[in-house]
Amino acid sequence: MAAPMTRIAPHEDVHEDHVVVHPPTTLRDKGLSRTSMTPLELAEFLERGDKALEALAPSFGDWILDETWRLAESYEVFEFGPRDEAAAKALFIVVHDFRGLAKQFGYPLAAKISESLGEVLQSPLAGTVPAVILRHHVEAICAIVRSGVRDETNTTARAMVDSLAAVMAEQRRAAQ
Amino acid sequence: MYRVEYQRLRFLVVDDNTYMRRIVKTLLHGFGAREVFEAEDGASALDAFASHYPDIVFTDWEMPLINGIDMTKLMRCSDNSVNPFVPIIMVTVHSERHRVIEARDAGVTEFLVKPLSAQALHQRVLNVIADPRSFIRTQTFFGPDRRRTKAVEYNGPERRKGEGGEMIAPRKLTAGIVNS
Repeated sequence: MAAPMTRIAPHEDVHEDHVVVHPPTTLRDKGLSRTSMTPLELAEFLERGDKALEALAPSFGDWILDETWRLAESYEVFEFGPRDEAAAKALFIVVHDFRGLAKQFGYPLAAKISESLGEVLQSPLAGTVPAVILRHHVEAICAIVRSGVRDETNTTARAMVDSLAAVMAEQRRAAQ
Repeated sequence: MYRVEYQRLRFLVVDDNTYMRRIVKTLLHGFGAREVFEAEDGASALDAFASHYPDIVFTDWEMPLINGIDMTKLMRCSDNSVNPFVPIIMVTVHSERHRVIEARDAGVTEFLVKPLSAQALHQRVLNVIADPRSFIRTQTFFGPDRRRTKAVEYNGPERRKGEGGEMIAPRKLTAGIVNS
């Protein structure tokens, strides 16, 4: 149930080409305590957030695996569909989500490949790059996650990142 | 250091990814928040915004149908917005300068780049509550003041006119609606 609403007219200063609006300080009154925190209390407070996040950590592996399945399925739809702007956008959103989760859950190389794939999908190359190259991006991401590679220096994963980057650079040059 | 009373605040978390929503929710609950509402895209977020009157909105950028940027503009500028001044914190993996500027120009209050940490999230919440900015309305923009510092020597094309004391008139215009 939402709180009752009150209308409060903000004060406004009108200038030559703009208006400065001073919103009411309702949120500050509601959300800030009159008592302050010591540095120790702040550290303890932040630790509560960290601990809450740590409690979720055992699920991160399963969650990122789920996301690789979602990514692979979305890619199949894209490859065998019309490969138009709308399809590229739909796949981009999945790839972009994946990139955020990979960063959050500590898969930096998978995040890097998904970033590169996302850039392609947002460019005119999305409709022209051979599907096999895009598929290699998705397969590399899935392989890295399924192998549990979280180390940025992993030689095999690093080699995949570098070779995909080289292929994409070549595609960009060819498109110019 | 100010103490934020999370248990008194109402949050709306907008993200098309279930796991990301769960992470933000978990952090907020960890800090003591009790009322955390969720929406999985911009359209359902606008519904939740109108029915739950959140004090603070966290939103993802890239979402189907209505993305976080368009959602922000609607919350700020729509004639029937329940609270055009609501703090909006953009949670995204985008970190490029042009993205930050685009978000700022859409009316986003704070920018939070993934991966999220407890400290970064708390700092943004603290900023929007303890240090709220005035809002600026021009012909093309309505949102939190985009200037965090006063560069008095700046004289370029983006300089606002009429802030040298030559205010035309102080007045109260449109009534805003806020939570009591």
